Amino acid sequence: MSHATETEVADAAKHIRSLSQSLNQVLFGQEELVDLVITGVLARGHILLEGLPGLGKTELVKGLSRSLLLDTKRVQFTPDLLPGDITGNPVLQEVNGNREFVFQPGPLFTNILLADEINRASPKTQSALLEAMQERRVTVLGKTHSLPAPFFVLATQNPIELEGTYPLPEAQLDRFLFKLEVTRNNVATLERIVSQRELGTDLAVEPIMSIETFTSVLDLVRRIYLPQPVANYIARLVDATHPGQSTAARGIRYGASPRAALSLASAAKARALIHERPHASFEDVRFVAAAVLRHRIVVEYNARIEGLTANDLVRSILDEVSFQSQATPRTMVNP
Amino acid sequence: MSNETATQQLWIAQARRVARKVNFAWWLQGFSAPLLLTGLLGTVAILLLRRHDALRPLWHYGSALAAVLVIAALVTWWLMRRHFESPEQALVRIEASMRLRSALSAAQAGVAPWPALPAEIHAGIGWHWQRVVFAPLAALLLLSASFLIPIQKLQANQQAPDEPQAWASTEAELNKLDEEKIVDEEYIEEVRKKIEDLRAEDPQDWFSHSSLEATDNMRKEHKAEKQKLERAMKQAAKALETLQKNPQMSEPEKARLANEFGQAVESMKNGTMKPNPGLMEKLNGLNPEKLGQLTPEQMQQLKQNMQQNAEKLQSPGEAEGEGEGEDWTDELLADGTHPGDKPGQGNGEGEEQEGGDKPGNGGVSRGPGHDPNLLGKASKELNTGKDQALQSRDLSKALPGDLLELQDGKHDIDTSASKVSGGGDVADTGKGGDRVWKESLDPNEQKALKKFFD
Repeated sequence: MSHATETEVADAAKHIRSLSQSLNQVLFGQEELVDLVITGVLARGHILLEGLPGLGKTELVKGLSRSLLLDTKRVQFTPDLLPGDITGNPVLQEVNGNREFVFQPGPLFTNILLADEINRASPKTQSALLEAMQERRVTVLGKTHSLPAPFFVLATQNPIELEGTYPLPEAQLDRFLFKLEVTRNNVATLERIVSQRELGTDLAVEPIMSIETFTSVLDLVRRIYLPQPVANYIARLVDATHPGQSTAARGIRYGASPRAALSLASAAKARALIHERPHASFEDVRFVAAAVLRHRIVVEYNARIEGLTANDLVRSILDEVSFQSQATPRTMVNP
Repeated sequence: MSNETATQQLWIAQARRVARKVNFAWWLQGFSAPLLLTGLLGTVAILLLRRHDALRPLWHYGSALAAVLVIAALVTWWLMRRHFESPEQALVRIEASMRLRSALSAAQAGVAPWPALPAEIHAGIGWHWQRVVFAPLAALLLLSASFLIPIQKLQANQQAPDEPQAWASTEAELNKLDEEKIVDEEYIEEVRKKIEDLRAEDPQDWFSHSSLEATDNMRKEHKAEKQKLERAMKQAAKALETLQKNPQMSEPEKARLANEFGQAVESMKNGTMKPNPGLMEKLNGLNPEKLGQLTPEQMQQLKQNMQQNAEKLQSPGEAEGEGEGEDWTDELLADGTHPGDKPGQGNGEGEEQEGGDKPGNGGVSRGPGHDPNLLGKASKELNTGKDQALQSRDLSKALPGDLLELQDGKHDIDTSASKVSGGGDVADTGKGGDRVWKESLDPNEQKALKKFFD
């Protein structure tokens, strides 16, 4: 596979910039969130959005689907939701004079699935998402059905209502490329929302690129060059999340998986493309590290009591692990 | 050469420079310990040489030091090369420090063009001067100090401590006895061997308690043997003299003298220190009972021989009559008497004599052997004061009886009527999650939990 050229990267970056501008018109004052969502989508990753209700998570997903001309379905997860409700069910139908089971695809068969309040679904239903998220296909009654490409799950979860929720298992969390925290808006942003939006009206979003263009951009991300020192930095970062491998990891019970390293590499490449570069860099890795790692490490009980969060620990690891793998001799100093 | 190639070469040259700098820093770090060690060992060596007064020209030290340092430098290079950086790794250092977003690595891989060379290139590293200069400076100071520290030179022919005087004096006596052929050589050799054995010990131990005690013991034995031989000879000589002076004495008297002579000869034979072999041979061939058959000349010669030997055995001080101890038997012999045959000549009446506070003059019924007021007049008033028993307060050493005491009193007894009362319930272990609070967690964990949920 040849590496992406500067021309290809420049063309793709033009589209991505338009997409970013479009999404920033949907969601005011959340530039970093928009940037990360685009990065996650370009890296073909699923995204878990955590934030209070009404912050615009659903609007962001809707805006993204309209900009990319992608099919979108939304599922409100509830405790009584069954796996078949999202994967689809075989229905007895008369076909050519014969009665046979015909598979009726569920809401999973879309390009972008908005899984609202995913932690309200039972573990059984959550596990039905596992195969879909990783393999991008579902199996019903022994028959495997491929999901349309591209396929993304953008799930949301409410961090304050814990009553009647089922926390996502570690295996499922690991399948999300990013966990993004949607924060509240400041006064200026709120003022802008109030003056430019109407309650109950739908936003008019212009399509930015066709599905073919979007697919070619996704392919280009894979061709972005990942220099060996950057790959080494990613490996050292992930290794440092394991207890005993770094000072910061003293507050971690379980570190990140190799899938986290792959996610970091993929996200760094996507970010390099966004910034119109044919190669990923240390800075790209640093930028996406918190979003990739924060939900993949399990914080030690005592560290939680001391008030440390996964974000704090990732930040400490980033400070601890230097870009270059070679140590600096003690007779030298970093001025 | 295209611009791209030129830029690439410039970047590579910069990377090589950085790599060289970093590698030199690694080498310096590794070389610090050998340098310090060399300085320390060199200092000790120079101090030792100075102490033994074996200093050599300065260039000798310089070349030895240089040789050691060159070897240490090579070994350090060999050991530290696993830390050395390649120019490619230095490129990463540069791009990380200059925030070039991996442009150099990408250019190196041919993915992107080489970025234009900025005015200043830095790899984000500088010298840590304190660590760089510490080892060389410390080694230099140590070596300088080794030449400057005042040190006492070791004496080349440092003498061993003087040996105990008793050995020399005993050896002198033995030499004298050997020269004059008074005693048997076997004895002399035996004593000399004892002295040599003592001398063979470490000179530091010559004046140790055990060595001095052994010396003292040997000296006393030697003196006692010498005196014993001397007495035996004198006794024999006296017997001969008496026999010679009174040839007409009665037979029992002659027999007694012969017996005395015989005892003296026997004593000489049995002693460790024996007379010289010539005299011993003569005495062995002589029958004490037939002493009277000797011609006067023979008797005279034998007596003179005995007397001369006895005189030679006497130490200078003893020869003048200052001796003491067992010589009292000689005094008795000189009077031609025998202990027990006659009453003592002492007139000491002891305290009963007028002026009895003087020392007694000896004799069978002699008075006290010392002056009663030798240490001054005894005071009648001793001022002993009132006797008072001491009481020990250290109860750890008290005997069981010391702590027992009798006391009048009553035991403290609860006289209230006994009754059946409820024993109370076992503490509730709780249910569900509550159980964790009560049983599973130690106090620290409970505290942490409370803090967490507060």
